[in-house]
Formats: sequence, C-alpha cells, structure tokens
Amino acid sequence: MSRTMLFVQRELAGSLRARWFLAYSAVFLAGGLLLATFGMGDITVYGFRGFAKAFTGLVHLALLFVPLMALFPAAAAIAEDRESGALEYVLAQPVTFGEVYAGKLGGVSLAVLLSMTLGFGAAGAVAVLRGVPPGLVAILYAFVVLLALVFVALGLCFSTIAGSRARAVTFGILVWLVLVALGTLGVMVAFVRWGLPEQLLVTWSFLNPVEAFRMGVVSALDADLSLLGPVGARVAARFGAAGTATLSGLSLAAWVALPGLIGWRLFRAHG
Amino acid sequence: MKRLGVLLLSVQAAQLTVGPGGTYASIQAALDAARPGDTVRVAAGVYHEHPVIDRPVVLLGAPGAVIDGDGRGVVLTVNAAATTVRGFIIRGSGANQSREHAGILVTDADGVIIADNRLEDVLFGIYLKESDHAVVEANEIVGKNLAMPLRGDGIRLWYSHEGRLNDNRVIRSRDVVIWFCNGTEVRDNLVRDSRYGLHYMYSDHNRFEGNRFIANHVGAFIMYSSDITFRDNLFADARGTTGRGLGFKDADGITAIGNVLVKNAVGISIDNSPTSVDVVNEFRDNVIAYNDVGVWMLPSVHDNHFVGNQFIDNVQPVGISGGGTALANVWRDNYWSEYAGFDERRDGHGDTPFVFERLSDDLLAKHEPLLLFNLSLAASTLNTLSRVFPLLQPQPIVVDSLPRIVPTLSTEVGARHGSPLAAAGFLAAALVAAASVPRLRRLGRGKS
Amino acid sequence: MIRVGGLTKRFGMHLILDRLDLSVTKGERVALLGLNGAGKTTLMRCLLGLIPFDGSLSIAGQDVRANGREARARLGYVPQRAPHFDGSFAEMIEFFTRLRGVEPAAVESRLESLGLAPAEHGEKPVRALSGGMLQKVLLALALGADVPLLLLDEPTANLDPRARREFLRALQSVDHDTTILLASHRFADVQAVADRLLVLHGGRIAFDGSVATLRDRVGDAVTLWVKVPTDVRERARQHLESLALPAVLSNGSAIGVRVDHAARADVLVELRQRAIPVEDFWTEVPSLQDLLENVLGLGERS
Repeated sequence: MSRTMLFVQRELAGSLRARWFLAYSAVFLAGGLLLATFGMGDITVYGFRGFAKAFTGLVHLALLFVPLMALFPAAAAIAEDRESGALEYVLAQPVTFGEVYAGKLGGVSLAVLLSMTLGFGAAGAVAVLRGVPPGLVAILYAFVVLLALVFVALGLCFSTIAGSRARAVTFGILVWLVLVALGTLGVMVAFVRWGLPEQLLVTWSFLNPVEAFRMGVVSALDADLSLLGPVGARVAARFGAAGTATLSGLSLAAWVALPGLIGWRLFRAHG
Repeated sequence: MKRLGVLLLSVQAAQLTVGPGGTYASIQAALDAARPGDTVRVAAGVYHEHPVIDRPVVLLGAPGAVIDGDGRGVVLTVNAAATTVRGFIIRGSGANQSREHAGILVTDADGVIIADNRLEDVLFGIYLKESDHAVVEANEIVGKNLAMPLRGDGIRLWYSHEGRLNDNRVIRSRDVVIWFCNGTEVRDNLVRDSRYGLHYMYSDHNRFEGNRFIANHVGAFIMYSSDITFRDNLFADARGTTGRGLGFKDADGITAIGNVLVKNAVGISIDNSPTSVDVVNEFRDNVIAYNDVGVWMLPSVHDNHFVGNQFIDNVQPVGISGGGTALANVWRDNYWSEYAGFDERRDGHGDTPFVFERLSDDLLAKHEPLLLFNLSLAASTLNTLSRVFPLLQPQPIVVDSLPRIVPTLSTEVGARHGSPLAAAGFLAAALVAAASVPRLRRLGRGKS
Repeated sequence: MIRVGGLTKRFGMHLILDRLDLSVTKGERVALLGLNGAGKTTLMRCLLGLIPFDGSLSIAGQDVRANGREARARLGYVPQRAPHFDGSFAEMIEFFTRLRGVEPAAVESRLESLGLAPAEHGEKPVRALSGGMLQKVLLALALGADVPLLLLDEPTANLDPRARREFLRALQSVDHDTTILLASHRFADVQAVADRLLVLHGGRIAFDGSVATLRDRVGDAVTLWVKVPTDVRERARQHLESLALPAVLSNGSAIGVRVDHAARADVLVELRQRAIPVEDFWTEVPSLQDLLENVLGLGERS
C-alpha cells in the first residue's frame, strides 16, 4: 500500500472516530430525513408537482451543515498535529510533504463524503419515493459533494496557515459566515445603497462558492432561473441551464483546487 | 336571417366530388361549380392549391384529404357565411407575418363551422376576421417550427362576436388571440408550447371553461375587458421572468372558480383590476400550487376577493411588485401551506389569522435584481433578523382572518409517483456508507 | 554520514544558524550542546528537511533538500516530546512500521530488549503510556528501521531520573557503527553517550572536540555551598576569598565556592578552624549553563 493511502486511512479512521463528527452526521441525517418526510406537500395537481419550496429547505440544510462539517476536521487536520508534535515526527519519516498533505486531504474528504452519502442517500431515498425526480436529487447530491470538498480544501489551507487548531477553526467559521450570509448581505446592502451594476451581482453569485452552489442547484430545478428574478433570467438566457450549472460546478471546482494548491505550497514551504 | 336562408337552400343541396373517382380534379373547380348550400366532398389525396370559398358550401375532407399550400400565401380562404370546413389536413402556408399567411382565413363570414381539421406547418392557424357566430371545434394546429418572434397565432378571433372555440389543440404557436370579441365561449381547448395561451383584449362577457394552458410563456392574459368567467381551467408551467398562469390588466368583473394554477413563475398576476369603482373580482376555490409567486399584484390593486382558494407550497404565496401589502383585497377562508397555527376549536379553521410577511420578499420586491439571491441563506437571515428586531419587520403582505387548516384536495400517496428503483439506489448508497463506518473506523487497528 | 556546508537559517531578522560547517563520520557519537535558543532544534529540523535553509546538507550521501525522503530513509528520529497518536500502542507500531516499510518483528524485538513487551502493552492507548515508555518506543521504532544514523533531540528532557537512566542505557547499547547525533543541554547525558562534543553558540560552532578535552578544561570543579549563621557570614566570606579560590558566590543565605571535587572537605575544615560554625553544606555539579558561560566564556550575546 502506498504511503499516501496509509495517511488517507489514518485520517479517515481518525475523523470517523471523532464523536462530534458522528454526532454531526447523525443530526444531518435526521434533518435530511425530517425535511424529506415533512418538508414538502404531497399533492399532485393534474400530474404537476413543484419542488422549489421543498428544495429550499434541503439547500439551506446543506448550506448550514455541509461546510461546517467539512471545515472542522479539515481545520484540525494539520494544526492539531503540529501543536502536538505529531506532524514533526511524521515528517521526519521517509515521506514527502505531498504524501502527507494528500493523505490529509483524501482522508478528510472521504470521511465527509461518507457522511454526506449517508445523510443524502437516506433523505434522497425518501424524497424520491415521495415523487421528487431522482435526477434532481442526484444533481443536488453532486453539488453538495462539491461544496463539501470546497470547505475541506479551505479548512486544510487554514490549518496549514494558522498557528493552532483553534485559530484555524475560528478563521474557518469566519470565512464560512462571510461566504454563507454576511458577504451576500453586504452585496445586497451595497446594491440598495449605491446601486452596484448587475454584473457584480452575477459575478458574486458565481465567485462565492456558496452562492455558486445555490445557482447550480436552482438551475437544475428551474431551467430558466425565473426563480431568480430578471437578472437570473438573463443569466439563464445567456448561459442556459446547463451552462449555469457547469459554470457553478467550475467555480466550485476552482474553490477546491485553489485552496488545495495554496495549502499544499504553504505546507511544503513551512511544514 | 342569413342563417335561415342557408338552411332553406340546403334542402335541395347537391353533392360534388373531388379527386380520384370524383367529378372534379381540383377543389377550386368543384367550388366554382357549386351552388350555395351544396356539399363538396374531397377524396383522399394531396391537393396543391389555394382554394377560395365565396359561396356558402359544406367542404368535407375524407380521411387523408390534404390541402397543401406549398409554403405560399393563405391555404384556404373562406369569404362566405354559413360555410363548413371539416376533416382536412391543411398545411404549408406562407410565412409572412404582415400578410397574415394562415391555414384558414375567414373574412366577414358569419356562422362558419371549422371542425376536425389538422393544420400543420402554418404561420397562422385559423384566423377569423369580423365573422360572428363561428364554431371552431376539435381542430389541431401545429405551428411552423420558427423562433417565437417569427411565428403567427394558432387561432385568432378579430371583431368576431359570439364565437365558440371547443376542443381545439394548439401547439407550438404564438398566441391564441381574442380581440374585440364579445360573448365568446372557449371550452376544453389545449394550448401548449406557445407564447400566450390566450391573448385577450377589449372583449366582454366571455367564458372560459375546462381549458388547459401548459408550458406557454403566459397562460392567459386578459386586458381592458369586463365580465369574464374562468372555470376549471388549468394553467401550468408558464415559466420565465414574464411567466404568468393567468394575468389581468384593467379587467373588471372577473369570476375565476375552480381553476388550477401550478408551477408557473407567477400563478395569478393582477394589475389595476378591477379598474372601475363598485366592481369586484372574485377568485374562489382555485388551487394555486408550486408557483414561484402564487398571486402577484401591483401595489394599488384592490377589491379582489380571494375566498376558499388553496395556496400550496408556492415559494412565495403572495407578492407585491415593488413591495407593499395586498390588504386592500379580501382574503378569507383560504388554505395556506405556510400557516403554522392550530385548530383547537375544531371548526376546520386556524384559531389565529394567517399573517404573511417576509423582510426578504419585501426587499427583493423593492429591488428586483436582488431576486438573484432568492432562496439564499442570506435572504433567510434577513427574515430571522426581522423577527428578532421587530423594527425591521415590514407590513404584512396578506392577512387571512380565517385560514383553513387542511387542504381539501385529496393527498395522493407519494409512492405512486415515486420511483422505487431510484429510491432503492439512494438507500443502498446510504446503507453502504453507514455499514462501512464501523469498519473504516477500525482502519489501522489489528493486522491487515 | 552528515555533511553540512555553509548552513544558514534566518527567521525574519534573526540569524539562527550562521554559515555552519560540519562533518560527522560513520559511527561517531556526537553531542550537540548549546544554550536555549542556540539553534540546536533548528539544526535538527534542517537535518530532517523540515524547514527551508541556505547552504548544503547531506545525510549518508543524500542531499536533504533535493532528496529529502531518501535522506530521511537513512535516519531514525527521536524528538523531545513523543507525538500525540490517536490509537493503541500496537496501532502506532503498525502505522509507523508500514510507513517505513519495516518488518514489525524488528521493532518488536527491539521493544522487548528495551523491556517493553508488545504482547503486554499492545492494546493500551498510546496516551496511557508513560513518557519514559514512549521515548523507548520511539527509540525502538528508530532502531528497528536499521538505519545508519540516529537523531535525538533532547530525548530525556521530560523524563524522570530513573527513566532517563534507562533511556541512556538503551542508547549506550546501540550498535557501534550507528552514528548518533544527540542534542541535549544535560552534561550528564552527553558524558554517557557522546565521544565528540559540538557546542553551538551564536549560530556557529563554538567548540568541537572530545568530551575529554572539555572535561580537562572544566576539571573536576564542583560548587560547594555552605550555610553559616548570619552574624558570621561576612567574616566567612572574607576568609574564603582570602583562600584565592576560583570563585566565591553568594545566594542569599548560602555562600558558594568553586573547588576541586577532591578538595571540598578542606574548605569545611578551614572554616572549622576559624571557628565559623557550618549549619549545612552541599555540592553542586556545574550545569551546562555554567559550563558554557564560565568555562567556555560564552556569555549572553547581547
């Protein structure tokens, strides 16, 4: 077995042994099941069902839980080992920095993925049984996974930079707050106050991984994005539903790659 | 009087036959030979011509009788009252919008019956100008496969009163237009994949029943008219920024009962209606479900009575353009899926009024581009903030003093619509994940 | 085994290692001494390739910067503080042996010879092991890999005296062709293990020689502390100074004099003869700090 896989295994097992991680997964599972069971009307009108409202619940659940669930173990992964001296000892073994970093990234990602699959699989099964198109659930799951990976990569990057676990986690939560709510609120306030150009709203919606996630999911739900008002409709007219989803996916992928790369380089430079 | 004359004439009507085995080789030749009231029977076959009917006849197509305009001009022109056209496939009109190239063009001819035809590859489908008492029934109209701005109308009624449109299917067209027509009845038609399912202006005393408007930009839009009844129609899937199931502008005396508005960008939109004083618009027992916005109003709209409707899982049940309230209208006895109260009195109604207010909706309505952030966590944060700080709370959009506690629609069991196979797949993924956790936690423990 | 050329390391404005040159040959046992902050740990980290540096550095012919993994494959490392490891004793052994591609049996036999039977401790969580046991585990892991070089960074700093003795004994029993570099600030450790001393000061090597050489310079000097009644303290002090001893120190209630180990009784006799009553006395072996400051004359750099 390769050394990277050894680190992946070790990190994965470590994450899964953490009690809070299991608790978080359980809450996520319960929340998803509750929403899928009670969060949407069962009424089919002339064969029509709408899922926008039910989906809003799932999207919000995902935005509240997924990033934090990914952030905590990732932020701890390097900083904690550095604090305890374990990192120095591990790096003193015949391994490369890349192997250690990849192991951390892979291990935490797998743990988070497992937890997502458990929660979303169960909630998705209920939702699909209750008439939600499976494709919609699958797309939501795909975007949730991407979102989770974004925050794993960010967390690990902070973990590399920050002096301690506590600081990495604190920084992670701050960034989460900005990405998830404060940033967008700021953009909204700025728009109301100074009338930002529309392009800036669109740019923010694609650049912020949390909003990109929302754009992607909504484009799967509502092909012409009329849910997102006139600007949303213009986005749909310009890129199409598939284009919007692809752009969102690319933005999320960039948010995985960039912090991943930055973290790795910093890790290599400073240990 | 005209009608009676036609009836008398038909007593001694002759039959003319066209096509293989018939007397005439072309339809036009038979029409030219026919006397008023005669019947022209057309055998199966493709007739490349542009017939013009200038005397009252009954033109009957046998199954397989096709009139093909070869992509030029109007295919069939009717200029005589009391004419019947039935049983044809009519195809290949020209594509010039300003010349109104149509499959069937009826001008100044009352009492025409157009039934059981199929119109294909036509710019306009059936176009009636100044022709009262028309019956347009059980036709199927499929427009040319053109970009929306280049298409013509599937059915167009122009200054044609007391018409009947029944059981027609209009697909991939621009609009079904009714302008300047009073006393029309429109029943059991289907319009889909078009622009306006019904484009309606300056027409009074009209009635719409059992029609289905599906996946058009707009289901039906009613302007500058009064005394209009909508019963048991379906308005579904009108999407896009301007998507509306049913829209009203300057419309008085509307009665909308038992309609279903589902999955539209906006279910019902109301602008300056009713426009006259002492007039009320009545919306009763409609189902307004799964729309982005259930009912969308301009701020000054008043005197619409919403009673006994069911608002189910609309992303926003009621919205006001530019923000504000809908309290100048009557809201009573409706079901709202957002309602969170209880029925301790057991009278089928919640014990507390349904009050709908959302800071985010208010803000986003005031600044429409911000709708881009609809469904975001930031928007919900705003609502939470407004609940914590009452100062931020906007005026309620809607207050229903007596909300219903349960919907009266039957709840269908989801499993019948769900896909058990896919569900099993998701469940299996979850189970595999759950089952692997204990094993993965032991990774690195013991020998392996 | 170790070749260091012009090794320079700065942290911001601070120059920690200043153009250091060093060569250690196979089988040498080298002690690295220095005051806190002299750069011992930094040098260790450079040798391990954990931090970037200027200059050249190779271990067993492998360039640390270009070929860090290969260099590290040729050394075993025992840090001052055992790493936190979430898991059992047996898991830790398994993880690190698999990481190095070493036979667990090799480590297990080392453990047994160090008095730690894996069968007995295997299921214990690592955090339940004592510091002494953990340091032995790390030593066993390093030795089990059968590497030509051992790097030890203050390995006994957190151990109680008994554990320290045991650890040093284990270290003494290491194969003679294994090269050892031991960073320490305990002279006793150094004496027990090393035959060559390096003293790091101000980012450079201030002393490089055998232990015997240093001992010669230190001699057998100890510090004898005597406690006398307050009313005669000044008289006692003057008398001791008149004996022209190397140094007379004072620490509140006691007076200290540096004397040869063998001559310490003479001082007491001398005081007795002067009718100065001695209430208490004790001797103190010079600390490394003393050694460096007073013997090598390395004061604080300021």
